[in-house]
Amino acid sequence: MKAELFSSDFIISILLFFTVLTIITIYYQNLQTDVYESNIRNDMYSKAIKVASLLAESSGYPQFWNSSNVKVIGLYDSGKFNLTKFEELQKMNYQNVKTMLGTGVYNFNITLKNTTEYVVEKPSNPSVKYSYGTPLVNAEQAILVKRLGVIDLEGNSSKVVMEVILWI
Amino acid sequence: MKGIVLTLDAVLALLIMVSVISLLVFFRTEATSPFFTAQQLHSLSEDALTILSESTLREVTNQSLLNYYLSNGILNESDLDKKAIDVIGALWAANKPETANISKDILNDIIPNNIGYQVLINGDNIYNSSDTSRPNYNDATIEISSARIASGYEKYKPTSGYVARSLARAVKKNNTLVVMGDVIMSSVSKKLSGSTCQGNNQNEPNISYIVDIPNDANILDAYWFIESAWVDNKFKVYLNGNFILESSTPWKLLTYNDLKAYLHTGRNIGNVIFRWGNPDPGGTGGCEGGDDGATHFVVTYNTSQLSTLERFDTQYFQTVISYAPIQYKKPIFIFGDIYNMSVYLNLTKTTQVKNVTLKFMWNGQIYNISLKNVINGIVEWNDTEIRSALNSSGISYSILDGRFFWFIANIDPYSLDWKVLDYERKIVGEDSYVKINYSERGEIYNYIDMTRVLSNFTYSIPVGSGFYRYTKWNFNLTNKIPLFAKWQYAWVYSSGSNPKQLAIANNIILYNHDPANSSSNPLIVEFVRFGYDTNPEGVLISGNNKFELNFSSGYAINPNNSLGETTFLIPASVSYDGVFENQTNAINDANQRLRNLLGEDVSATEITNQSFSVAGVPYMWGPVSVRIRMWT
Repeated sequence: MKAELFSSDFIISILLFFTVLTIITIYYQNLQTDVYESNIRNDMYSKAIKVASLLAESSGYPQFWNSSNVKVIGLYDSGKFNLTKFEELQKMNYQNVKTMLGTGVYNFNITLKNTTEYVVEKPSNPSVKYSYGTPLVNAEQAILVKRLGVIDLEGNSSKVVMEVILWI
Repeated sequence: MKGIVLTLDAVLALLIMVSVISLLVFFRTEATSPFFTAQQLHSLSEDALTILSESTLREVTNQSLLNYYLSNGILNESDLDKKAIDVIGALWAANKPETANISKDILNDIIPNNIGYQVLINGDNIYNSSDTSRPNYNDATIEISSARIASGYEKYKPTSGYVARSLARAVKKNNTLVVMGDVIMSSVSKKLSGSTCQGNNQNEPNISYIVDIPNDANILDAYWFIESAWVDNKFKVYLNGNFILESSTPWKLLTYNDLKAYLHTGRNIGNVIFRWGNPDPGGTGGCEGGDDGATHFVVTYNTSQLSTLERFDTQYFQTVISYAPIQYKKPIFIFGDIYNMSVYLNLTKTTQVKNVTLKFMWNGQIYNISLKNVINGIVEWNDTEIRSALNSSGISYSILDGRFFWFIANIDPYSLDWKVLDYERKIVGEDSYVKINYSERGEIYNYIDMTRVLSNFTYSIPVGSGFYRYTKWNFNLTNKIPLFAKWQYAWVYSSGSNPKQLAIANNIILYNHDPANSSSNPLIVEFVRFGYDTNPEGVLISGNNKFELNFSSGYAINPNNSLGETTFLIPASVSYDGVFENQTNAINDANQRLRNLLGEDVSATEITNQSFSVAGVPYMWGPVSVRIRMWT
């Protein structure tokens, strides 16, 4: 009886030991993953804010740039987001823009939305939508930064929200 | 039994461990960093301010709301094309509750719904979203605000009405004319023996003083202080050919009572005839007769002329007649850049004067220019001759701006004694002058110029006979535009001494002769003039001014016989200011502001006004701080 008791204690303690060991191992792996993802998230946030500031506060260079001569991309002109520049942006190669905006390994998407949260369309040609970049597909992480502004939409001013999304 | 207990212990331990690990995992999983959230809020608040300040009301406000405010008169059509921030500011200034609605309409549909916000002007709440579905300010965990300065608003001031400005076309001003005598001397003694002169040579130098009073003037007061070159000189005084008095004292003050019978508007000519002082022709006395530079004629008058300040282009000599050589020291004061100078002397066509020596004096040091023969009664020096002589002595015109400098003309070789009166020497004052081409600082002729005698002074450290080593003048030029201040001094110098001479304006040293410091300014034996303009900055200001003279043993001035004057400008107009409900009030306000500006010595007798209506957004007040606060 005495021997049996000892044997069962041993088995239970072994089970407990391995259970705890397994939990700690899983936790440690999750922790490492979280730290890694947190660093990525911070990096993405920082880059998204910079990209949004560049687009929303700068005219770019040259001041009246187009897709063939642009050195610095910026959409702000005289108190408004310049839709002509946005259309020039849409003509540019995605990888080049990615490099110019400095998003690094992250994909991005820039969209102008109206006050009802629809993507702004060109009234004379609704197929032209003011959005640029790659849409989110199987994204592991995504960061959204918003900026507010006004656009001149073929003679009518309207308020818009510019959404800058970085994702990976 | 023991096995069961041990098993329960292990199960409990396992539960505790799992709980701790779960808690750790929960607390480690952080939401978005507060720093990034704060950055996002900051960007959004800046964007909101940019929209308000860069976009017109029409561009960013719901048209139906605008139509409603147009229909009930809160806004007018012109307001729609003004910047949104201007309209909000104007409505705030007028204490209108519509400010909140407009602010909300502009911002509410673009600021994300998970963010609360508030609009403030100068700390006053305009709109706060706390009472909506947005986060309440009291629950905020992160709060950021941005602000912009907007000009043009002041609370409770009207937002539409009339503005006006006033211009004085004609004025009556109480002004002062100051005529300062130059330093002019000529021998009245037969013989110089050692340092004393003996014998009356019967010469009586006659010096004229020109006093030009505006033709429309009403003379209020006048006095004439005369101080002779030597303490024993006697002199006779004439005004416009009328004998006034004979003095046997070295100085004399003639009051308005003495003068008013002969003084009139326009040109007045005073004459002082100086002569040997000692009654015994063979005794000793002062070598020269003449003016030691302290004589001054002061007239206070009322005139309707806006501008009475003459340019300094041509500075005339005083007419002098003497039967001995004349030494004439002409002080010049210019405030502005000097381009060129020339000296012209008319000694009459029949003069027997053979030559004239011209010298230049700066900071008490004398520099020779040249001796010239008189041809047909005329002798002159052009700019090239003067400039090259000064340049060779290291003096450039640029250092003369705003300070006294002197030309010294010796009519015939000068001598303290003159035994035989040979022929008349006459300087024709009306045709003898120093001509200076200079640039006046600023445009002074669109203003009312005023000159004041500086009568507020104190003195200390007496040396006898009314002379003091320390004197301080105080004068107030608040709301005035100062041009210059200048003095002439009744001075005394102990021959051979080397006293300190310190002139300080508003605690800024302008002249400093320090006997212990050889690199300091040189000693000025005849410290008879001193003046300065607004350079360097701070010496003469629109406010309280102070000027101090400080001498050590060997030098002193008589403050009561000295004279200080300052000349300043008063603008003749006031610009637009407040907005008033009607035109009459706006004009009355402008006129009152003009009267306040002119002060008690100037009254506007003809005022023209310009007035116009302003509507909607005023633009003449402020600035105010427009702030947008955001929180999550």
